[in-house]
Amino acid sequence: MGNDVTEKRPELSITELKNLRGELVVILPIFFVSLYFFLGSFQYKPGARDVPMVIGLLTVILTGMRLFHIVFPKSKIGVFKEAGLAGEFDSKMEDIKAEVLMGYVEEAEPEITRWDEWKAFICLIGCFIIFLLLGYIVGSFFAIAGSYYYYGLRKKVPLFITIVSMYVIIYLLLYKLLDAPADFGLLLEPILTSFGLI
Amino acid sequence: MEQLLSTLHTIFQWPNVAYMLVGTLIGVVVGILPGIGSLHAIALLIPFTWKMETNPAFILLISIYATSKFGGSLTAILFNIPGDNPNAVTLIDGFPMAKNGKARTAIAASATVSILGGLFSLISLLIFLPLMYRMILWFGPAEFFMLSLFGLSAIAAVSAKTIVKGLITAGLGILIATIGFHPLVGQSRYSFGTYYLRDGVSMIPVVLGMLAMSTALELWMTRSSIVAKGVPLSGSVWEGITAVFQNFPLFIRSCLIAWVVGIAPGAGSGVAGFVSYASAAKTCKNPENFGKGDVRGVIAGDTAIHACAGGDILPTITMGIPGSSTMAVLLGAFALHGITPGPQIVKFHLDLVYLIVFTLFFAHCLSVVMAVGFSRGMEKLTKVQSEIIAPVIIVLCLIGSYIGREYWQDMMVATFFGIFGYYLKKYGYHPIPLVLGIVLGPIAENGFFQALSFSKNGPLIFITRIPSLIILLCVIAVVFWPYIERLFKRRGIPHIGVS
Repeated sequence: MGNDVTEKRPELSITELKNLRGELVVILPIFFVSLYFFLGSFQYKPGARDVPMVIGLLTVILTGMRLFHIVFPKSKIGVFKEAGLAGEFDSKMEDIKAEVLMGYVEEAEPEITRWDEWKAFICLIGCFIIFLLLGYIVGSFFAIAGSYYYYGLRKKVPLFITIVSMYVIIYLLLYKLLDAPADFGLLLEPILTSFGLI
Repeated sequence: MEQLLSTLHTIFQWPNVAYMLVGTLIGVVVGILPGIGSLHAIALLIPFTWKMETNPAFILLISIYATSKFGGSLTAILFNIPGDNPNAVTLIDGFPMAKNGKARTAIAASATVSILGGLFSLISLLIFLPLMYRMILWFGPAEFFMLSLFGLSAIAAVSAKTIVKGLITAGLGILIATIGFHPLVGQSRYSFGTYYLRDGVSMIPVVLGMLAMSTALELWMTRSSIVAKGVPLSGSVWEGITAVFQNFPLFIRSCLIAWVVGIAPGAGSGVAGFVSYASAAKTCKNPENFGKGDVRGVIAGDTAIHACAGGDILPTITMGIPGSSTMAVLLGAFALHGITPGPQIVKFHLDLVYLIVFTLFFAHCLSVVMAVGFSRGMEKLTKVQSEIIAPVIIVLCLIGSYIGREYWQDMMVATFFGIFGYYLKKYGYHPIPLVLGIVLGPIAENGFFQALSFSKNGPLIFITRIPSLIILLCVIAVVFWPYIERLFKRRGIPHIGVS
């Protein structure tokens, strides 16, 4: 459960240390955002400032403690190993799962490299830019086809099936039947307007 | 009685029945597809229900919630692949049964407990809802605020790894929810003078980004394509059905375990299934047969998975305290449809509560018929590559985040939270507390002001009223649970863990 904090903490391995440092990606933005909310709350009227002030302060303290632990890994401050009730349930489930599934499932956790991560992020941001420029009605097809191509999928049948089903969902169901707002993006809309198509 | 009949009439009215069919179909398909489950499907569909009336919207969402698990059970039995996370328990005995030529028997047992588990959920909810309704009638603004606080503190319990990491992400969620115009004070907060931020950060793009987009990113990164060879359908259906009735005490015990686990905040059907299986394996006769294709293993695990729904839903709809991650997302659906999550649902929308309860049962029954019908084409669905599913999820997320308010910035918010959500999960921060913070934060804030305006003694109202004080003590117990437990251990008092 991780509830027992021993008197002398064992040395962290290089992987553990790397993971701990990696956590900065999460904890640093939360720390600065909550600090901004806390300091910014003073400019508002009483009533409007209470919640951001109190919650901001609490979050700053907790993230600050965690930051301290990341910078000084040997310190006991900010270890945060106490699992909540559901944490206990989850640990219990993990134990039982490990026990009963032994030998039934060959779990080969694929290793995710930094390049895998960046590749996925680039693809996601690319999809967002396509939507921004072309809107969702046209952009959806380019986003799907583009990401298939980006990930090296060359089979035409799955691509065709996906495009057709997305056409049914987006154009017929959403746009025509549910009257979803039309959107042709920052690039396509002026072009279509100039040709009098919309 | 009149209420019940009117609910049944609503469910079977056109087009509500069609929504149930569509929801069941989606539920079964996402149950079969590896990597995504009902949580993601509900998160993806919430924005698409924005123009629908409340009843059909919830029929659709609850049908998905109720049905994804049976589809997952079928893939576990036939292909050794748990379609949804909780179904991992089904394959322990389900797949060995299928290999021993008893695939039909295992499926029949699973289908029977699915229907009976749904029935148990229905009955338990029908018994407890009137009691909860009477209790809620005693509640005033102070209790409503305290319940919101309890819902928020349940966040800490939802956080799987550590309680403090849950509190940090919850704090961030509450802070994000404070952005925008504050109606009670008449002041805009943290808007930088922009119209977009003046309207506040919508919950929808955050939910879609944190839950669905981050999962799509993981699917892209792992690039898992499951190549599974199915087991031929053989064995006796009748044998599977009778096995359930021959082991009826086991069924009842699994139902009760599931119900208790379901009510505990954050512990969903996954936990219930494994706890029930472990309990059966330890207490039944011939425990050495478990794991080698014993139908009792399928009954124990699958009963708990399906019967858990009642315990999951009860605290969610009556108190606004989510019984599982999926229920936390459903709270967001209530908020989107203008229904304040928590006791006010029972107080002012009792018809909707009964609609949810009955939909849960009928969708369970429908899913069995549909999933068995699908079993032939199931092999193809399990082989769908993650690179095919991921862009579809991304596209639906971007559309869903845009159509609600027609701000392109919402798509940007979803994209940002997709990447941020991935990192949160990677470093053991559960994304659900953030979502709950955004949903329940404003409710708690408004409740606090409302309670104070009714109070003659200022903040003392929260401790002078007995129900409010009891809930406050529960909040303290939940948040400080690990420290209380440690205190007991130091004093040499036996461990009082949840197990």
